[in-house]
Amino acid sequence: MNEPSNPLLQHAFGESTDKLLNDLEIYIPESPFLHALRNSLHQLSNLKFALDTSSIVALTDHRGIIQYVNDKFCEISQYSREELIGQDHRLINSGYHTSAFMKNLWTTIRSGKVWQGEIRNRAKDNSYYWVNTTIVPFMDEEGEPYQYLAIRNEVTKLKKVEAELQSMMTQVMQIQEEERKRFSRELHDGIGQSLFSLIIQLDSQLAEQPSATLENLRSQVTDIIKDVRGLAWELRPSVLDDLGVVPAIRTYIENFCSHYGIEVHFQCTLRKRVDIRKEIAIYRIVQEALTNVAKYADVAEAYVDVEDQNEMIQVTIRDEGIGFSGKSQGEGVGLFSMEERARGVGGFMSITSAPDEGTSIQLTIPV
Amino acid sequence: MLQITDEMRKELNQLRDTIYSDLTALAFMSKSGGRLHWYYASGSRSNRYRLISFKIGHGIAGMAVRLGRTVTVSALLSGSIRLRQECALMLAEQLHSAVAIPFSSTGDLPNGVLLLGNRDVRTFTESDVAEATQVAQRLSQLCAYPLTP
Repeated sequence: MNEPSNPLLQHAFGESTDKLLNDLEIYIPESPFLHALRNSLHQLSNLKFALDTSSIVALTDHRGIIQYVNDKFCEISQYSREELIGQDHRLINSGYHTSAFMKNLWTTIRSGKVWQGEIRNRAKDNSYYWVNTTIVPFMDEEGEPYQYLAIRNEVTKLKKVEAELQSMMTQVMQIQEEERKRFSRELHDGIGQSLFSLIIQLDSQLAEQPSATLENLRSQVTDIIKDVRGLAWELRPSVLDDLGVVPAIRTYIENFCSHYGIEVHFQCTLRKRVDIRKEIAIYRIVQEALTNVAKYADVAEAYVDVEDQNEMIQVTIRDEGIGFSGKSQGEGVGLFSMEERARGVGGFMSITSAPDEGTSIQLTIPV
Repeated sequence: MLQITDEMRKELNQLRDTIYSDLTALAFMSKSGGRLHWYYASGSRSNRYRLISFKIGHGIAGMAVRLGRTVTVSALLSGSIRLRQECALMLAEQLHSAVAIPFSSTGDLPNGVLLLGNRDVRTFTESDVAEATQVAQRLSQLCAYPLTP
């Protein structure tokens, strides 16, 4: 197993450059050729030095058996060179990536293409580290790879920040929902109730002594109650908490139609309640998607489907409007926040759109 | 319900011609404290406007009614974009510049609005707006008579 498949690999990664540089004069007489060769070897040696100081480098044979590792590799993986040489990368596999992921990696490099991506590895003390990895295959005359050079850079910190940002986004959205709920309740039950008691007092006054001024006052208070209720509903429809996402979407669509003049065809096979966080996510995504339809699609009709697939809820929001290409996405945070919402409840959202071919948003939420 | 008369249509069509705008439209609040509906739009691309209603304070037209003064939306006016996005008529008709002039059929708080709009970026001159304000004045009178409780 420790026997390298190709004896040349022993010195493959410029290990012998320094020695060659020293012995150069012994074998080759002074000539422009020697000069050029020395220069070239020198440059190679410098390049290797630069690479070794900056990156984690490993060289494997065609089977993936490690033939060479630099100091940085040993440092980050906490294994000694002796422990690594002759092993394959399974030694540092963290088990995080799917077999499909690994298969794709191998298919890519076996076919002679460079693979790039982020991999989570496991060090000797069982801690994890993330590396941004580039694997370059070297091919022989028959077009078969005979060795792979892997250059990695540690990005554990970046990954950690990425994960923190994600959880922060989820939390911020949760807090926003809570705040909306609180304001909505406060408006509805607090101010709304006070205004209602005002109406009752006005009514009793009016019963005793009819007065046009009081009538007028009463109708103004009624208007204010309507406004306050409308505001409370916009912030967070209580029907969402009380009756669930489907009645909430239905009411939203009714209001949407009379506000934008866009007819929404709503189909739904969901008959059960799911976790409130998931219901909120579905509701907010449908809301945001329809608002986008109104703002950008330039259509008179849109389609919303909510399908119960037992383990999944599949939601589709579709229009046949002007669509957009991937590049022309606006400055808004709408799409981004929709994706985050879906991710926040373990779901997944994808968008398909092309100019003049409409836009379709698919949301999958596991239950 | 407001009944749109030929005279009102004529006012709106003529105004659209005189000031070279793509669209002129009339919204009215039938019942006090209710929502405003678009009753007629001259130069519209579709009949979607008939389905659209809005609240006081929402969008360019709703804002004009709330403030009781002329409100302008233009790409050149930063901060006016929100008033466009809140205005379903501007979105449905793909208008990018607009002026909304409120009027009152009762002599009390505004209950109607006249909207001038263009599908490109344009500025409405002072004389355009003055012309339109006169039309709004006439419309307020035309709206006053057929008003039913």
